[in-house]
Amino acid sequence: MARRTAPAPALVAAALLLSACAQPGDSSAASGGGQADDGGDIVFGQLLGITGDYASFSPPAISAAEIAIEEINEAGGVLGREVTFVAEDARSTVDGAIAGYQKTVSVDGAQVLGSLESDSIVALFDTITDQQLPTMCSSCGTTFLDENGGEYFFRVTASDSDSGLIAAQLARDSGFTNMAMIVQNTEGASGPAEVAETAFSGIEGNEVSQVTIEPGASSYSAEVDQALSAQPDVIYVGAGIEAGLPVLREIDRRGYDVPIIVSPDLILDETTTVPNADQLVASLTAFDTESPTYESFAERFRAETGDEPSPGLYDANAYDQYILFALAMQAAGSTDGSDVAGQIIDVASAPGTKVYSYAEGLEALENGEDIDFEGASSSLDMNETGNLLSPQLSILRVTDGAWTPTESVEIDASLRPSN
Amino acid sequence: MSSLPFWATVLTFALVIGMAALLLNVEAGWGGMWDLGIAGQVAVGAYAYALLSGAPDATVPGLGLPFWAGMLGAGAITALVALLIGWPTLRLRGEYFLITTFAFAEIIRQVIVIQRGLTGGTFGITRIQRPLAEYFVPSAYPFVLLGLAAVATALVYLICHRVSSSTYGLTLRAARDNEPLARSMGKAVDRVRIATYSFVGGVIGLLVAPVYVWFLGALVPSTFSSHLTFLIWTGLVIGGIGSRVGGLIGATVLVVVSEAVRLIDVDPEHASRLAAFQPFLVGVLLIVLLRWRPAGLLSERGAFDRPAPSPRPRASADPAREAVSA
Amino acid sequence: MQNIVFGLITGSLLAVATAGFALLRNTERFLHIAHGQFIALGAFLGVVLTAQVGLLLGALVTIAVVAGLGALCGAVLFDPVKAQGGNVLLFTSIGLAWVIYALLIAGFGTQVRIFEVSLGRGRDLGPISVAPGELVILAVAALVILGLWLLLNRTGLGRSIRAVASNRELAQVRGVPVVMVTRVVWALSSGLAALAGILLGILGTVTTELGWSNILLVLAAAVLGGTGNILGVIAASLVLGVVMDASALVIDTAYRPVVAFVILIVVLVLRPEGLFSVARRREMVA
Repeated sequence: MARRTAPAPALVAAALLLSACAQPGDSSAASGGGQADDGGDIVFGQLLGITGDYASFSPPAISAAEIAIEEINEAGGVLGREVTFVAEDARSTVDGAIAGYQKTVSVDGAQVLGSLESDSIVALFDTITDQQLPTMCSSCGTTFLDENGGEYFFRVTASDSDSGLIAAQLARDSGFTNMAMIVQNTEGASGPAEVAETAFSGIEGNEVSQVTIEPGASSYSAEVDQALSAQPDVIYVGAGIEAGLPVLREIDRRGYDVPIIVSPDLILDETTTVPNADQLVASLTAFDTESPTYESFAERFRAETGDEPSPGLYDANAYDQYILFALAMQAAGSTDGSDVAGQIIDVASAPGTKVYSYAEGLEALENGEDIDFEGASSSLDMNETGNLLSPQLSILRVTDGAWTPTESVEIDASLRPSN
Repeated sequence: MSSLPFWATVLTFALVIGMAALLLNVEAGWGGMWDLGIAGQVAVGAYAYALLSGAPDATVPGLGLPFWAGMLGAGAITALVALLIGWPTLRLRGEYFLITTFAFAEIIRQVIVIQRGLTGGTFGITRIQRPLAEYFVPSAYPFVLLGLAAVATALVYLICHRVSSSTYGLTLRAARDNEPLARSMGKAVDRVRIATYSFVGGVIGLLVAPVYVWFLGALVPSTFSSHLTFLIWTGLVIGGIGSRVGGLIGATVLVVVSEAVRLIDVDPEHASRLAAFQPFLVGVLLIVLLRWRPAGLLSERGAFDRPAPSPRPRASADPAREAVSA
Repeated sequence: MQNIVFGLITGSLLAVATAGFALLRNTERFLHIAHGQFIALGAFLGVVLTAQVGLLLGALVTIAVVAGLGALCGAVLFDPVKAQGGNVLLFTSIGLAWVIYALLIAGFGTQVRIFEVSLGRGRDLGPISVAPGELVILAVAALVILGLWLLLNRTGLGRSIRAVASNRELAQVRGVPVVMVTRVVWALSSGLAALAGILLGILGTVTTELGWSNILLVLAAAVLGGTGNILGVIAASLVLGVVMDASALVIDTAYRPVVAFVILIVVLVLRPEGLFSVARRREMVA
């Protein structure tokens, strides 16, 4: 190889050339917000961790999204145009999200983005806001969105703050005073756990002890033992299935027979098989299994995947996102990002004619009505930060090998930290 | 739809990995120090930069220093950390050095997770400011960032180039090839090694980590896992260990090929199979390359005057041990 | 006391996982990073087969299949590049690790899998509580390790393996069937990995990241154990397991993953050839 000083000048030149290509006047940038619209199919995008740590959540989310897109197209599409669906891999990492986002937006031309995970949201927040892309997330609890959402970010699942509060509330209302918490050291688990701990320990006379676990360890015996040594009358397990299941089994092996409050990520079929399933209790914006939207979705989901929809997998939430996007776009009368984003809270929330499917919503909009789409995962009513308005939470327990909603509760606002 | 922003983003990431591979080459290719903990150095640099230049009123408060001060500070801090790690570790050789650096990287990552007050823990540092962002249309920024990355890469390349042709670099390679001889000639082998290790850390903190931080926009500890180390190493191996530009070429090939896989159109339900194609491709590339062109795409031969490695095992000892140790 | 029992279980699983790794390291002279993926492969194959034909048969078939695959990989992928040295072998192994990882995702999908095996309730045995299943795991691990030790030290095959491990060229000159030994070692190593994967899967869950999350610890145990007798590696694994679980008593459990690596670093800095290495290898220290 001949001696060269560097390919560096060549690199710099190439980069400058590329920068020149990106001057304003680039015809692919729309004058308004969001993506260029070439008048063909509308593209709905999904960016989630198909590989990596969140991989197990992606197949049901993709299936659910596809069911939504099918329903939309069957009813005639949005603004008379067909909708195409693309799913891109964020690799459950920040750099994967950055590259995946660029692919979804600049190559695929997505005009809306769904199913973002917490990591992706914090990484892409500024970029998405700058590019005015309506974005939703169906399974992200990150407290980051508590205050920052509402303009381009919307969430169809409860915030970690709420899931944490409800756990503390449950424990308090059942009369427990000594809680041992076993919490996985990831953002999704420690977020709600922190809220729960603050709320519970804030009550006079209550004790809380916490033990941290790392996902991927071969066993958790020592940690469980540590937690049980505090002689708790209630246990809180905040973890994903990978660590959560062995922890639950270990609690059973030690023969410790108190109620175990589990985080929403553990509301799965697999958890119902543990020997101590009767001790488990959880809370989530449970799917309203009576609602027509849920029934129609569940039927198709069963046909498509052979499984029941599961709150812990947020599949119905994923479905709701895309119906909402379609209705908002229809209501806005354009695919312009800021216009669409401006309609999302309206079509999701009261007041308005209640509709339970895309076709119904389309018809109502065409009649000039205001609509309120009631989703398969919840009523979807949102507040101005794009979060679910006082989500109606349901207490779930395991009966006959399945997670069943029992009573409904509302969050006791007095448990919220006063800031 | 224009795919230029996508490719600009991909190339930016490729340059980050490429810079890291060039520096790894100085340590490993020329210095014979097989560092499996390079992700830890990038982590230190990244967090140092983010904390030095972050706004004081952000969720994870920073010192609010301007970009260039953050870069200099990150460089100094990373060099210091590398010094502290290198001092006990560089006595070890071969796989012992390998595993110890691996262990240190893992410890660094865990400390970042645990010290939530300082680093934001698993919640991370979010909404990191990018330089020059306010002067450009959002859709143009990927190209600006690519330009910045290219400038940084050019600087890293020039630095490595100077090292290679200096007496310092010659001492390094002499010690790698025949340590007893180098010592007997009075070369301060230990000092040169630790200086190199610390110096590489410094450049990572000064240039590589800040560019990576601008690319990511947010820092979470899981970004700096062993996957990153393996990615950088694979880039270096593909390009050719020892070659002055191999790491850069190899990393670019690796990242571009991996991301190009995204362009294959596939039904969403097969998305996981497609996503799995990327590690598959990387693995196959590595295996095939090592089998038929183990020196990598480019090799040190020609760039420096050094006889080609003999394919037959030498009578004295296993050449593997020769290469790994020294 | 209870924590020591936990530690022995963790440690014995680690020992099974690391024994295979160490075998390859000693005889083939490289760090087989893909060993982690063989563990994962064993776990996945094991969980799928167990659901079909029960645990015993499922486990045996899995171990046999993975052992065979290992021998095949050794012959096809690693033998041709053996002459290039340990680094090339290391990176070939990293490449193989990625290939297996990708195939696991493509073939088994990404959802978490569970062994339908219960370990029973904990019974009190004096000051400690152990579940019957945990005792079984401990017993299986101990038996396998004992069997391995007997194989290596009391059989002709074991003698051949040790000869190749100590000096390949000399063994060849002395008429030891080196190629056969290589195949056997690969098969043994991969089979042990598969068993470790099954045991780990029973104790925890089976995910696609299983391989990557275990390889670091295996690496640590192997290096700590040194390159002498396989017993060194076993002992190091048990020590690591016990220390990690016992540490929960004194420090915040959040530090548990760090404990193993801190120990590793401290030991290597003080005793660079590992805890139990009998012979100092030339390249340990400058």
